[in-house]
Amino acid sequence: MTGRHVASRPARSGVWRPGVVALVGALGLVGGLGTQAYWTDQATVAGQTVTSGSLDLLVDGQQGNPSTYTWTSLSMTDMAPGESKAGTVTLSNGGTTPFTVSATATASGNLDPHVTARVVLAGSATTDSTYPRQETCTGGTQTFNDTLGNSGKTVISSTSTMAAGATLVVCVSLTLATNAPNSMQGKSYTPVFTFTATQAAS
Amino acid sequence: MRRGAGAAAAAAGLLALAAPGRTTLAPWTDPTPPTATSSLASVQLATPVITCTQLGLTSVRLSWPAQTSPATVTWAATSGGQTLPGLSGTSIDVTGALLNSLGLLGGSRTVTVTGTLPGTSWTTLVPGTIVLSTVVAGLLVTCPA
Repeated sequence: MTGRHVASRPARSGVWRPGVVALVGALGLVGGLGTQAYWTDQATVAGQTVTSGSLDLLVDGQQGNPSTYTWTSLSMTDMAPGESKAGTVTLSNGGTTPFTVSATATASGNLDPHVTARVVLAGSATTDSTYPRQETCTGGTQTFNDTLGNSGKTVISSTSTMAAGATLVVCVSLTLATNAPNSMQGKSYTPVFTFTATQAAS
Repeated sequence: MRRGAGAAAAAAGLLALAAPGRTTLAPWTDPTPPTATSSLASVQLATPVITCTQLGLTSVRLSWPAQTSPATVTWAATSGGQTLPGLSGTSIDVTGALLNSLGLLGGSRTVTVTGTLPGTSWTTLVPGTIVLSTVVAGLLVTCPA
């Protein structure tokens, strides 16, 4: 039995033919182009010194870090139940960058559960040397009124923007509860306030 | 509400895609934030140290130091749970007859002195005490040796 074996021919696509032609043509055109070098030029400009701004928060004119600022006007000895002590510090922008200020506070010592701290922005501290000494913060805007504890509470969420050179008075009063138990005699209380400056959009 | 929220989220996504080159600028913060601290100390009413002075055979004077900070402490003297009368400032004269009137006949009698801070409920944590001796049916009283 004889006969021709003819392999089956794949069907041609009508799309492929012009595509291949176009590709070959394009390659031909590119092949005819030469490599061209771009001109370059270089000039050196005398450098000007760029100085970054500074962000510097001061407490009563002091850095307050690494040495903690001692807030003597907020200290009291021989404190009795119902007595309170108030004092102010002045925050200032000692840098060149405007910022806002937030603050947290902690307290240590056995008296902590019995001492209420009150924080007032732009407040004034009264003085009272007559027993029972009851000093307080007047005016301003109260931002905190509670016990502090040792976990770090926010006592100032954010101040308004302080421009370079601006100052802001913070008044704090500390009150020993009238019902502090007899066992709280001879105990101590140490609050620590941390003020954080954050750059403000200018 | 949910549809609106979805649209808003989609819009935010598109904005993020449309501005791929933008970065969020972190504001500066003070690298060493200042801290400020103060200190409070509560008063402690000290235990009164009682001094006994023999006034005669039948009476003694008990006295102790005053405490004036933050206020003048007030005092009370008791014996056998009863308040002794006649206290003046930081002293009291105690007679055998007084102890006798309190029903404290003969033997050793403990007098306790307690201070109170005015306007508060705070009292001396450890009261001062002294032991007086009475003899002859409580008429004679003597300081401790």
